[in-house]
Amino acid sequence: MIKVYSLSTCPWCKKVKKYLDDNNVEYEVVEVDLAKGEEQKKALEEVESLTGKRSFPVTVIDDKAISGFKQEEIEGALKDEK
Amino acid sequence: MKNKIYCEVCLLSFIHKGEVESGQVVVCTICGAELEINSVEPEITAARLTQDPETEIRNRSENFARLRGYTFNEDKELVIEGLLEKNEMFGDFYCPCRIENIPENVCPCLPTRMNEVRKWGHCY
Repeated sequence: MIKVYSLSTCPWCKKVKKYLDDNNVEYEVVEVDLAKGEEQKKALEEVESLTGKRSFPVTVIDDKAISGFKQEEIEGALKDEK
Repeated sequence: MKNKIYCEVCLLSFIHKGEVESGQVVVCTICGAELEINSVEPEITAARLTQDPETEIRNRSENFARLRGYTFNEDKELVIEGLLEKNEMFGDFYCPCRIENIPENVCPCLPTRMNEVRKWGHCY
């Protein structure tokens, strides 16, 4: 299962989503800036626990959390995906 | 003749060389924002020049880049798009890559105004 924590306005988040779309990869996206109250708080806590900081995008593939638009890392993680 | 003018975008005063008169448009030398002079006496006051959002943020980023000697990379259009979305949704040009919509994050953000670009090689 793949999850992307994203900001709807962030260019790098758009690039990650486009890359996954172009490769017909199923993923769940959380637009953290558009989430409200509790949902936003929970998402922020998850991002912080995954990466130790609050920056976006964060792409979670199985147990691997990739921060930023790093195509090779995402490609690698997709191949190793169980 | 040096005039100190307060910029309401980056919340600092900058030095403007030469005479100013009301109605004149000046560029803040710290953040590149375009300001219109409201009054000259007893002291100079200026306010953000009313423009359509896209013109405003394009002019501001181009002024800022020129003032600092920075160039645009291939992500310029995506960043401008993100800034316009932030402005539409949250009312100001907050950094599209940050979640906190606070004054320090109004583009060009505080770290970028403080030359962090030299360290990172690009803005946030």
